[in-house]
Amino acid sequence: MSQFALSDNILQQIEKPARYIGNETNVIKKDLTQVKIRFCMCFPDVYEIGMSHLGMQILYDLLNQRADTYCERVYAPWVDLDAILREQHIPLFALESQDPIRQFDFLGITLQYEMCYTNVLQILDLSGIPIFAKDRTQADPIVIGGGPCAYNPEPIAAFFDFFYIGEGETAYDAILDLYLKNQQQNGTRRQFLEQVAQIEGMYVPALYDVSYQEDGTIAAFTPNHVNAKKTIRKQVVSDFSSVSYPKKPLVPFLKVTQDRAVLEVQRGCMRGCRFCQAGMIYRPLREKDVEQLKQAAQQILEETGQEEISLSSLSTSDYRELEQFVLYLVQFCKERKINISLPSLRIDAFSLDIMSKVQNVKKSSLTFAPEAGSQRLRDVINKGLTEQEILTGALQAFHGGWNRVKLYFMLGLPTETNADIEAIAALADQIAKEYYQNIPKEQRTGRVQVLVSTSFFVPKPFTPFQWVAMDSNEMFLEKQRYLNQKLRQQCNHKSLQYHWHEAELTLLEGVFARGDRKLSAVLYDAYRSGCLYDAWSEHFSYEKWMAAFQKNQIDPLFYTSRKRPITEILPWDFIDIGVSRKFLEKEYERAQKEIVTPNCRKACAGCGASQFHGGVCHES
Amino acid sequence: MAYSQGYSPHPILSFAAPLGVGLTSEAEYLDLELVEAVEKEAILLRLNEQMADGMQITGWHVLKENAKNAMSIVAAADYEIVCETAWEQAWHDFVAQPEIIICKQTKTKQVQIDLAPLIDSATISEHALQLQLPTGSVCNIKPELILQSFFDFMQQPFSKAMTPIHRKQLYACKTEQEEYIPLEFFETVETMG
Repeated sequence: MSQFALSDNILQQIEKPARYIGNETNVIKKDLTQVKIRFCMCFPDVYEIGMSHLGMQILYDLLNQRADTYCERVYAPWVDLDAILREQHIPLFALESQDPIRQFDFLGITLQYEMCYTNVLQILDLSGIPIFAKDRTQADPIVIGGGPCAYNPEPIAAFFDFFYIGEGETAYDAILDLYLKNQQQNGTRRQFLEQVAQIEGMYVPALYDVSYQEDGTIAAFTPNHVNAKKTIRKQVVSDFSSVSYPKKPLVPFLKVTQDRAVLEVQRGCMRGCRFCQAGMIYRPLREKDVEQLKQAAQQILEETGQEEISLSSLSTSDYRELEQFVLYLVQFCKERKINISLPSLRIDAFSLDIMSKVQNVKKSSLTFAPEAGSQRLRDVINKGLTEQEILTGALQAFHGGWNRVKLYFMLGLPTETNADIEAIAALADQIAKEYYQNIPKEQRTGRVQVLVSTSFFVPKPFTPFQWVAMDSNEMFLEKQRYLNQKLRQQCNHKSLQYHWHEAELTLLEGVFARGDRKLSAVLYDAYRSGCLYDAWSEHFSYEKWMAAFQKNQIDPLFYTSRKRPITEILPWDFIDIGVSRKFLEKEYERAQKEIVTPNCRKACAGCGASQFHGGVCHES
Repeated sequence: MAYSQGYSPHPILSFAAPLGVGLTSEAEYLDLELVEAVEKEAILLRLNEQMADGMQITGWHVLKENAKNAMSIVAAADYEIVCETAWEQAWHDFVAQPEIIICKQTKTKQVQIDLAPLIDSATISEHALQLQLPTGSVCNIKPELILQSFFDFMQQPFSKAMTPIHRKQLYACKTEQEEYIPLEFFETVETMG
């Protein structure tokens, strides 16, 4: 007699059966007879990836605070179990109760990156929920999409009943109360959706029609129902210090990708890097109160027994109370032999001082993200960092005992020339030179290792670069080869290493990032032809994807290679993220003129985020 | 808990022998070093409050000063395997063979092993096969290895789910010649539970 949806027989056959049995430390178990709403939260990738996601921990904790609601979890079954579920007609189930997802009231899917879209279809398919929203009946769960990709929901709009645009902590009470009310009045699914459209931030695709011009661009995006708002404004947490945060996060049995306790110290970013979507959509920058963080850190570590804690934010160096908080944390953690991890720090004297306080093990590598090799291009993308700052930072790190440095760059940034790419090699070489010229032989622990890593620039919605043309695969590969050649020509080439990325997957990311509704047919056909786990190189099939595009007579380059005129209607224009369209256009112009825009604390650039009445815009 | 010295201190904790995925057990042991004396009843309660569903700590023993850690002393294990009556005769024939050669895949190469001398003892009854196999750092034979070989002998396909395996005891021994002693009695000073 098994308490699990999967028999012992099946569990014995598959890889890492612990992915599917739940019962983790701090798991929530509720009495189903007392519960009115069953909610299933989904991360559409395998368990180890999904369990590393902070957002799900936050929503799981938040929704379960409601006595009338039971929130459970589901992750994408790995390919081995996927085959068995299909073969044996076993419906996909939630971890806590092991009940089929089809029985739930809601299925909420978080969309963190475009390349998980085929897994979204897999989850719907294996649950027995009609893949297209228009085919769903009263018996099916309401399927909600959220997360950063919901800011351009159009390519996957056909598969969702509605999208929750913005931060998840704010509107679920209103949504669930509405759901219960509708149920009490024996309202239909459609009636619920028409009403949910009235809650700010909720986008119901069925209530809008899209028409296209001859050339494939959007002619009009029109509401077809009186409740459908012309503009959908994102949900944002205004009082960030008092917002709910999980003090008893789930602790997995398996080793997961982020195998540590995570503490969010602030949300949003004031730097305004022009390529960065997260920096724009999470504005304004809002800090958490440091005393609350101290309490939360203590509670979380006591409730989980985790051996490492990480501070999470887009740019942790900007947290004003960082020094005080880290000193506290170091004291607390040292006694308990807990490690502290501090990603997303700027490299300067202050950060290095903090890092040496927390890095108790022998020093691993230090990461800089200049993103562009030349000052000119760094100014274009508004990544203020000067060469002097980079070299000084590197030298201070070397004196501090680090001898391994990682440098992140992007290839394909707007206005990029060969000179900019060559500058990457020169910069890497200069850093190695700093080491050899300034660190005396006796103090060196071997050769310095400078690792250059390049990814490809993908223009994203709601950034000043949302109109630019993305480089083609051929251009990317040529640039990679050029950079590789230049690196080999450097004096200190023996100390330099180069890691590069695959271009083909990046093309698809580019297509879906700025895509429209026409892509849903392509996605569906790609899924049916076997595309799955596209973010995993061993499973990604470029050929199958290209076949899906061909079958639908859609050219992927339409979405990526065109430089879009400012006048074009973009699929995501109907969403208001606070930061205004005018600001993005102005920043686009300033980028082309190589003019830097200072950060929010230096000078307000009037981006529009101040309308939310919180955070850095209203700091004293 | 006591922690090790050095760059990345970890709790001084040693599990006697890892249990394979899918097996059940009533004889799991771990060593723990504490920095201060704790109340005997309390420690069992505190630990069991945190244990996962379905797992309980049933007792504890104080080890002699300088006792070796559990992992280093384990020598053998008892397994009980649910089996079908039909296999009895085949089993007798299987173990009667002068040698039982199998191919074991290690990380780097394939090795040939003769299982016959490695089965410390084996008895089969109507529904259960009892095996005592070498376990630990010196020689480690998993029950699945024996079962796979047995099913090959019977020319039948083998799947772990067909043969639920239950570990009943773990043993240590002082020297090669001496008898096996169950871990709970090995080098202990005081017992509770």
